[in-house]
Amino acid sequence: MNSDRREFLKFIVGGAAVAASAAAVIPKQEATAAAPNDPSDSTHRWGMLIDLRKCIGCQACSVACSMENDVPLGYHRTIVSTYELDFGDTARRATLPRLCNHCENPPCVEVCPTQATYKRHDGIVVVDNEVCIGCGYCVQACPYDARFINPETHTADKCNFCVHRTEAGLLPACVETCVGGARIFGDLNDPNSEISRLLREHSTQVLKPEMGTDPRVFYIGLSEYLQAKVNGEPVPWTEEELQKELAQL
Amino acid sequence: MNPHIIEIINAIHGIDWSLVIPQYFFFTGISAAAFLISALTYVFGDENYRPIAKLSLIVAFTVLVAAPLNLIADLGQQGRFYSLFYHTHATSPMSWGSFLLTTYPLLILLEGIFAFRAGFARKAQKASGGMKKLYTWLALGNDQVTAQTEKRDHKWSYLLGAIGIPFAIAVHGYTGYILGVVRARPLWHTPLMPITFLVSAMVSGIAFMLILTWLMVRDDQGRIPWKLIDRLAVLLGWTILTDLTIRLFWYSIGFFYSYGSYQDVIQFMFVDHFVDTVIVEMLIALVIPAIVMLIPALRRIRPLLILSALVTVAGVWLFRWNTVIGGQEIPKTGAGFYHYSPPLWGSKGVMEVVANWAFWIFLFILFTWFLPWRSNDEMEIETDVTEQSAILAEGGAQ
Ligand code: SF4
Ligand code: SF4
Repeated sequence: MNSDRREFLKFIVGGAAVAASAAAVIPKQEATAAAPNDPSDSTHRWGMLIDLRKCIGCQACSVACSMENDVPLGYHRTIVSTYELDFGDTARRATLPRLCNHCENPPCVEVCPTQATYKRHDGIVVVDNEVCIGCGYCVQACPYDARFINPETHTADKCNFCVHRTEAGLLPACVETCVGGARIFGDLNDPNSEISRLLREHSTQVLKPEMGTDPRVFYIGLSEYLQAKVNGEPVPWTEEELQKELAQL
Repeated sequence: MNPHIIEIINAIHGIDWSLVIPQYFFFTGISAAAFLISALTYVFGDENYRPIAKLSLIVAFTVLVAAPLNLIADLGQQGRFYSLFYHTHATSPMSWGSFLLTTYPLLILLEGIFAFRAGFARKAQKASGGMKKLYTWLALGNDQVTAQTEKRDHKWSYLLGAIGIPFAIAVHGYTGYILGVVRARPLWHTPLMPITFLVSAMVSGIAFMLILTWLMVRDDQGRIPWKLIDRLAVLLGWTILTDLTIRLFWYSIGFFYSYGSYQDVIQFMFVDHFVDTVIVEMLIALVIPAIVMLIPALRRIRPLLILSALVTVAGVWLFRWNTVIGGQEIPKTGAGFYHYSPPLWGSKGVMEVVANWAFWIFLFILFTWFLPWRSNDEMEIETDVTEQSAILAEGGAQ
């Protein structure tokens, strides 16, 4: 059993029995509870650390996420962006798992006209898809391309750290499935959690720090040239081509 | 050393705000400008613009009725649009918009009641039966035009016009805010966005009213009022120069002296899209029209004047497009740029914009047909008033 999972189980069995019983009392919350119904409290602050040295770019996380969250074809709550880096004499692959950063200071939340999207007390940024009008303002405001308008619900959609799983004491699907153990999920408020320990021991990076969003998804080994908009040759297909392909499936 | 990077796998994030959004921004801009033109007469008492004061009010109102339909069209959950009124959010410019988009047209409507009252009273005098009742009702139950009613009407249209000015500025200024606050999009994120939107709105609105004046307004002898059109043309010329100056500040400081993501904009606007932004939008649709408007000899070539005004209007539409769509064609994480061409039919298609224009034209025809907007109608009233005031003055003197 890998250590973060053990960590997580410990947390359920031990100190957080309260949370578990609360989860039993509160009827199973949809990922998208309205702000007043936010069942979380600020005891925990969930975050993720992605150790790029361990990521092999297999996309198991992307697939697990899409299955867990029923993400429509052609859209992604998480994806492992993959790059070929040509250094002239050498070349290598770079992988970069992307997801919502659950920013401490999320621009998507401040622009939402209906407050359908909000940050829970435990830091998870969620969308109440019964309030969301699908205006797409949050999609524009997110600096990380983390959001999209779901063509089935016609509302904003994105990673929510599998809130339905984490509330039940499970790990997010992507973390659970990660082959290399590159994704570490845990409580940033707990100094003894594995993520807190790794953050202390390693120098870590975030995407687009200049945006002032204060992401809660950290990376080990993220090169500067991949931190913001990538300056290079784009993927050799367009959105229209992609849609056409999808239509044929 | 930074490597040469080839993107192999990445999600593509296309255009979320489709071309109804530029259309929406364009229409609110026309409304704001038209309202300010009417305020020149009603608030600032400039009689030169009186022949188009009422027409401007009609444009300001009808365009603002048609504009929000674009917004609703672009929502994922269109049936939920009304929830914007009870699910509010103080930090979201879009939330402010819901209130601006309701109070501002109400203000125009109220102002219109007083601006058109005398006209309706005159119509009521001539009409009979049901129409008489309707006109009298619209004339606030009084079919008389006296110095007293005129004074009251003027007072109210002055007051409401004055209150309306900040609203007109806000109803378009906030659209600049919508874009300006988005720091994820380097093309949008500038404090100059509201002001550049406002000034280019004035450009489009003045040019639009110039064309409408040429099409619809005639003086007592049934001639095109070239004097008024020339006045509008000069105003347009100077407004374009202001617009260009703001653009100069924006582009030079915002992009050329900036860092990181802002630098992508230079490549996007001034290299890849050189023809549509620099040549068409700025040179053909701003610089050349400004020259035509400001040089009397050129302005007097009337077809050139009208054509330039038309090109200016189209150019401002293109500016809205280049900003809203162009801003989204610069990926936030992906390499390179996206390319977008809207479908003709269906949701987010070109026909949505065409339909919106058609709806506005319908409203405009309806309003101009029904409302007594021509100053010729007013001429007689004006004489009445002068006569009456003369009588009053005599009375006072005695
Ligand atoms: S990554 Fe984007 S969607 Fe997620 S919290 Fe930050 S701004 Fe919002
Ligand atoms: S799409 Fe939904 S969640 Fe996003 S800003 Fe609009 S209403 Fe808010």
